[in-house]
Amino acid sequence: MSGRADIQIPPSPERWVTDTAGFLSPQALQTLDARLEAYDRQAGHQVIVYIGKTTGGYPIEEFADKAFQAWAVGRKGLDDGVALFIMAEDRTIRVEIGYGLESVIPDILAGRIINDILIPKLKAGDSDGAVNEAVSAILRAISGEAVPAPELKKGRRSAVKDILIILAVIAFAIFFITNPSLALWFLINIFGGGAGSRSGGSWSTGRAGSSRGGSWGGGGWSKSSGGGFRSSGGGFRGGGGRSGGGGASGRW
Amino acid sequence: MATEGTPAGTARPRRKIGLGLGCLVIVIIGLLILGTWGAGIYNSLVSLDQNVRSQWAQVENAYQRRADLIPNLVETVKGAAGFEQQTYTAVAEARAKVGQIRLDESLLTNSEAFARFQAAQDELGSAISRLLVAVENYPELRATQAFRDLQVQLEGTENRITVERQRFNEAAQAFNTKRMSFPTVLVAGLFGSRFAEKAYFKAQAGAETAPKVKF
Repeated sequence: MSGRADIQIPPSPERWVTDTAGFLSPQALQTLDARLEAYDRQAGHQVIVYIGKTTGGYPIEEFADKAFQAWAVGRKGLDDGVALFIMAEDRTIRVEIGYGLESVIPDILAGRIINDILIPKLKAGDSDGAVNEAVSAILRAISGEAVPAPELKKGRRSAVKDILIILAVIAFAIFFITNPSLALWFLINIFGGGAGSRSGGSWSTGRAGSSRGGSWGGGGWSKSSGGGFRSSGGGFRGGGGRSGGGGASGRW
Repeated sequence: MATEGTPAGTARPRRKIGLGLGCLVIVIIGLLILGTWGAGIYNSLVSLDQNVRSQWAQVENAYQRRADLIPNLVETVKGAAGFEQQTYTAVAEARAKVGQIRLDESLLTNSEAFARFQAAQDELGSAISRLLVAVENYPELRATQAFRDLQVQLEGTENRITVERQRFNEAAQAFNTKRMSFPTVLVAGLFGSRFAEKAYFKAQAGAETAPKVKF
C-alpha cells in the first residue's frame, strides 16, 4: 500500500484537452478542446482528454483512477464524467468512466473504442484522427442516454448565492426583531403567494424553465449564464464526480 | 441536624441549599457538556461506520460482477475444441466456494472470516487468470468478438475490485483511527461491539498491484 501513495498525479488540468507530450497538432487540440468545452456547457457532461508522457512505471489504471478522483471529473451526485488518458511514451490508453455513465458506456463499449478506433489509428500514426474519433464515439454514446439535467451547473455561482442568502436571513432577522408583526405578515405572503408572483425574477423557481431556456439558445438567459461561468473560472474545473474503476485500457 | 433548631442556625441551611443548588447546576451543565461531547463523538463514529459499510457494498458489487461473468466465460471457452477441462472446472469450483461464504455485516469486524472471504475471492481471481493464460493457446478463440468482449469485462471487473478494495481499506482505516484514538475510544467502549474494529483487505503475497488480466 505504501508504494501506491507515491504515484504522481498532475494538478487538475485547466482545459478539457491537455497534451503535455506534443501528441496532437495544435489546431486539432484547439478544435477538440473547444468542442468538449461546448459539450460541457451545453450537455453538462464533462469529457476530458489527458495526454501525458508516462505514468512513471505505474499501471495506467491506477494513474487514471487517482487522477479521476483528484480532478473530480463529472458532476457531483451524477458522476457523469469521462476521461481519456493517453501516455505517449508508455503507449498506453485508458478510458475511465464515471459511476453515472457506466451503464451508458459499459466496459465492452470502452474496450471497442480502444481496440477498434484508437489502436488501429495510432498504429497508423494518425494521432489527431484517433483521439478525435474516440471522443466522437464517447459523445455519441453519452448523448443517447437519459441523464440530462444540465441545470446542476448552479454550483458554480453558489458562493455568491450563499452570501446573498445569508445577508437576506440577517436582514430578515433584524426586521423580525424590530417589527415582528409586519415580518410575520411578510412571511405568510411569501409562502402563501405561490411561485406565480416570483417566477419572473427568481433563479430558483425558474428550474424547469431554465433548461428549456438554455436550449432556446440566443436568449438573455443563456448569455448571462455563459458569461458567469467564464468570469468565475474560464477553464475546466472538476464538478465533484467519482468513478469506480469502470472503463477499459489498452496499449498500442 | 439536631443543633439547627436554634434561631441563630436559620441562615446556615439556606446557604447550604444555595450551595447545593449551585453544585447541582454545575453538575447538570457538566453532564450536558459531556453528553453533547459524547453525542458528537458517537455521531462521527456512526458516519465513519456508514462510510465503511457503503464502501463494503461497493466491494461486494464488484465481486458480484465478476461472479456473474463466470458462467459466460466457462460457456465461451467450453465451445473451443479440445479446451483443457480442468482449467474451467477450477474456475467453476472457485466460484462455488465463493458462493458458500455467507455475506453479512459481521464479516467486517471478524478478521478471520474476512481473511477467509478474501482468500476465496483471490482463489477465484487466480483461477480466472490461469484460464485466460490457457486461452493463449487457442488463437481462434481469442480472436472471437465474444471472447474479446468478455476479456474487456473481466479486466474492467478486476480493476473495479482493486479500486473498491483500496477505497474500502481507506474507509476502514479512517474508522479505526478514529475509533482507537484517545477520547473516542472511551465512548466507543460504551457501545461494545457496535463499533468494533474493521478488518482490512491485505495485499496478495507477491502481488503489489492488481492481478493483471493482460495479453
